[in-house]
Amino acid sequence: MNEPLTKYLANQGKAIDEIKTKKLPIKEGLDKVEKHHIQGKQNSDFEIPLCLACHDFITARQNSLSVEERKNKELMALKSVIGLNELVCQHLREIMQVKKEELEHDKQDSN
Amino acid sequence: MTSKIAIRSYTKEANKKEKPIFSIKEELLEHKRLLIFDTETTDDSFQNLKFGSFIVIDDGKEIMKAIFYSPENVLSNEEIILKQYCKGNNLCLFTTKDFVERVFYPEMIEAQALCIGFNLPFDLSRLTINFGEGRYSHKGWFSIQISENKFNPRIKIKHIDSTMSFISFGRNSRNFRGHFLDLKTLASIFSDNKHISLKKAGEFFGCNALKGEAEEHGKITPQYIQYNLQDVNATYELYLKILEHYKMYGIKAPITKVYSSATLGKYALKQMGIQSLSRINTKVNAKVKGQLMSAYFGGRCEVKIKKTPIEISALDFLSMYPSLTIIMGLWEFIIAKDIREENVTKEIIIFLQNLKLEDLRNKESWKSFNVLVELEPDEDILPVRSNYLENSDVLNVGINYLKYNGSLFYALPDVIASVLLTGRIPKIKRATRFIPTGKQDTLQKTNILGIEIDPHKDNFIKLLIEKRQEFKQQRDKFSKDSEDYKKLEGIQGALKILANSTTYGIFIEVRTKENNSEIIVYSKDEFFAKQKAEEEGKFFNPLIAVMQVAGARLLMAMCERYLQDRNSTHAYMDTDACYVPSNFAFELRDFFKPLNPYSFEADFFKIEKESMLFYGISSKRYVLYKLQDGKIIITDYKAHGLGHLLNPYNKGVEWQKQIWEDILKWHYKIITQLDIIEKYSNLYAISKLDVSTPLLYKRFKSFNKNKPLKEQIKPFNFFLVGQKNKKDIKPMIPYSSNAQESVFKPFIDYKSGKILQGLEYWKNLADTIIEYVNHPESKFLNCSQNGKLERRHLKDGEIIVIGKETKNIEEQPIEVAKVTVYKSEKDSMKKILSMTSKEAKQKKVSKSTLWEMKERLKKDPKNFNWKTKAVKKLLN
Repeated sequence: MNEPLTKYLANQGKAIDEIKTKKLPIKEGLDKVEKHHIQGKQNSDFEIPLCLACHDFITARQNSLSVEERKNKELMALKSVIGLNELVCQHLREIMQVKKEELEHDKQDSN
Repeated sequence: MTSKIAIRSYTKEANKKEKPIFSIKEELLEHKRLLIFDTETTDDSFQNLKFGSFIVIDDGKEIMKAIFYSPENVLSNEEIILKQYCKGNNLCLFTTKDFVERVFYPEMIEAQALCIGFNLPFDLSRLTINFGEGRYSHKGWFSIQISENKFNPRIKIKHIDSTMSFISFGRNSRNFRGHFLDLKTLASIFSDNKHISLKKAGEFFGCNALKGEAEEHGKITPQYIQYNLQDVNATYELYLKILEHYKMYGIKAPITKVYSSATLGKYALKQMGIQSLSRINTKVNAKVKGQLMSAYFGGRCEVKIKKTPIEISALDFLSMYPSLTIIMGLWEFIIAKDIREENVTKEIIIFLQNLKLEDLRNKESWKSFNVLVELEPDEDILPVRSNYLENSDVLNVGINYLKYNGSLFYALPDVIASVLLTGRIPKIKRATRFIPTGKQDTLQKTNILGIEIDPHKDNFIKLLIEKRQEFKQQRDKFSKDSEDYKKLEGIQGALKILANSTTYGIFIEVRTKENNSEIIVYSKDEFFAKQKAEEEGKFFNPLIAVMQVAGARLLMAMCERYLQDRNSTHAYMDTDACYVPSNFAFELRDFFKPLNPYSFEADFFKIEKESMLFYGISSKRYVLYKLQDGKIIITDYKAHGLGHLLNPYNKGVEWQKQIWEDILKWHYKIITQLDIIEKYSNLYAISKLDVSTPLLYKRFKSFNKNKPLKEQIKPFNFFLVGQKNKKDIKPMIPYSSNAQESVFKPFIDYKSGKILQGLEYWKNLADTIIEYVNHPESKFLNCSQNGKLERRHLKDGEIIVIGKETKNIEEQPIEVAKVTVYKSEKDSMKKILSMTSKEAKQKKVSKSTLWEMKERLKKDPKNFNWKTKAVKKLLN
């Protein structure tokens, strides 16, 4: 593989990672509440209110299942829970990052 | 034949959930990563991809510049040239497949880059390996497959018009529609030129890297590769310039969602927190909207003095629709919290009884003209939409005498115009005034084009026009080449676009749905039907649109009455312009002066051209010229009806001007009809179109059958189409650069799909010109005669309720799309059940068929099939 191509592919990978780890626009969706169908079925009674951004995130996770898999309600429900946990983890990670940065700042200040 | 009186309607789906006006999902406002590409194709009819180039930009930096080629369509020596060029210039070379798999999809789907091109649908469709029509919500769209990997979504493209297409990815696991941007759309909006090319766009926006000139297309040479790479660079620079220009507007809409100037208008209103009519709690419900829609007619356009040269001066109203929005106080309706109705029948009758032309010069009185009048027309001069010519389906709006045994709705300005022209007061049954009350709570201050706007206090439209005037005055202080001049010119152009887009089109915007559904049709009356619904646009408000156009017609009627009082008449009228005998031009200019709604000094009815000769055939078919020493000097001409044809001569020849010159020479008897036939009978009337819709593509099915993809006509390929001749055959043929020689080749008939050959099927230019000259001004009684035309007297026509009117004929040279006629099933049922066998026989339906039909209708009217041939015959 020639040099420009290798460089380009590396850059492409970076850009893709950036999109994947992009922060969610939670603030924009907070005021809009959606009823999320846990099992991915319309009109089912199993629904929980979620903010729009979270609903979007979890629905996208559910939609990543294949058509066959989507027919299985339990699998869909599990995907919902996994999605929600991923969100929580993501935010905890963010909080941790902020805390770490604060600690480092404090350290630098004390030095 | 009983004439038809067509009125517009408002439709509402019987069971429909309300959707949010603007999508809740916010689109990206800025794009960091860009993929710009351009393709070059073979020079034959199939326009297969030969090679192309692309650049990937990340945060303003060029990450990759490379070339891709299609090994199937490139000759071996061309492949060597490509490889050598890439080696010499340190560029990567991809095959098309590699480009799609390794660059296009990772960039577009994973990295969510913005795909940019000039005329992007054409370039995207060059990558196709399979295509077809979309399904479900994508019906009417092209669905293009460019990758063999089934996980890569297809690309869906819907053509709207020559500059506007919707492009998105099909269903995919990420539920991501992609970001696509066709620069042609934006360039045409900002330059107000529908036929703009990449080169012209570059020049307009002052780009340094302009599109190059290729010596020869279709053959790969190092110069040709260089030309293609330059195109990509020119496209990128154009994107940057357009983005800069767009940012100047200060409108917070994603650039990928700007499809027309109307989009800008809608987002500007949104930014001011203005709610649409359907969102505010108002008495203007579906029924009233239907009545208003029935009073909607387009602008007035007519040739009054036909094929008789007359000296005229051309006058033109200053920003007609924005001005009327101000004069009639329509901005208050846009920001109103509620709209109240008031019965003012008596007041209006008294007003009309005392009406004088002079009174209408008081602009304050126009604010009380927002009235909808229900009247029984009895030889009153009113706008009527009808099929004026026998055996014609084309509906035209004419201002004619109308007598109708029943009531119709008209806007008050139209009724005033009638009183001005007839001197009689129509039989008024009811008059309802609309009064705006309060201001919407959601209104907010904003900054558009650097102008602070507070919708609570400011009249947005007035502000735009006045600011434009200021910028124009400032601009004129600088020389034309200076940077300041260009900057101010850009701003004043933008203000003009914004003022026009926020005052008219968006208030009457409706979209016809692809599928039938159960609907309620509101018009003069209301009824149920199972037909295509019309979805209202984001800021649909028929009250504003109806009053604006009626106001414009009233101004025209005032002009007509003024001349009538002086035993004269106008020669031509078109929406906001009027061509009047030269000796009245200054009087008329002064007469309309008091109506100027702006704070700056200007002529409201300004003289555009002075002392010219006018020769008109029909609406939008006229020429302005001068006679000097026996020579004809054409100063302005309209080419409606010729505009869609290809130039039969070499590039650069003003052939339409030449045709007009010959028409005038024919009129002055310098030449004869025989000379015209001799000159033009060897040339053919041919248009160039692209396969823009799946419906058009289907016409090439017989041509494409059993052929490999390489030899098929693909979506967005060009093709040539001849004019319908006496044999009722419309020839279609794949594109070739020498259009005039295509007539000797076999072609496909548009209607039957059969392959035919022969010169007799192609209409020559001589016939087209003679037909053009003999085109009747159908809205008038003596429509084919020369001289002053007289109004028609329409009596007891049959009312038909129609949907959205068809587009400009220029834009549909293949087939004039018919308007939707809404029919009430109940009325149709009654008509069939009461029909006698004799009547059926006249319509070529047998007695037994009629009997069977009636039986079916009585037994099960719900499941009755209304689409059979016999039913259609009976109902038409």
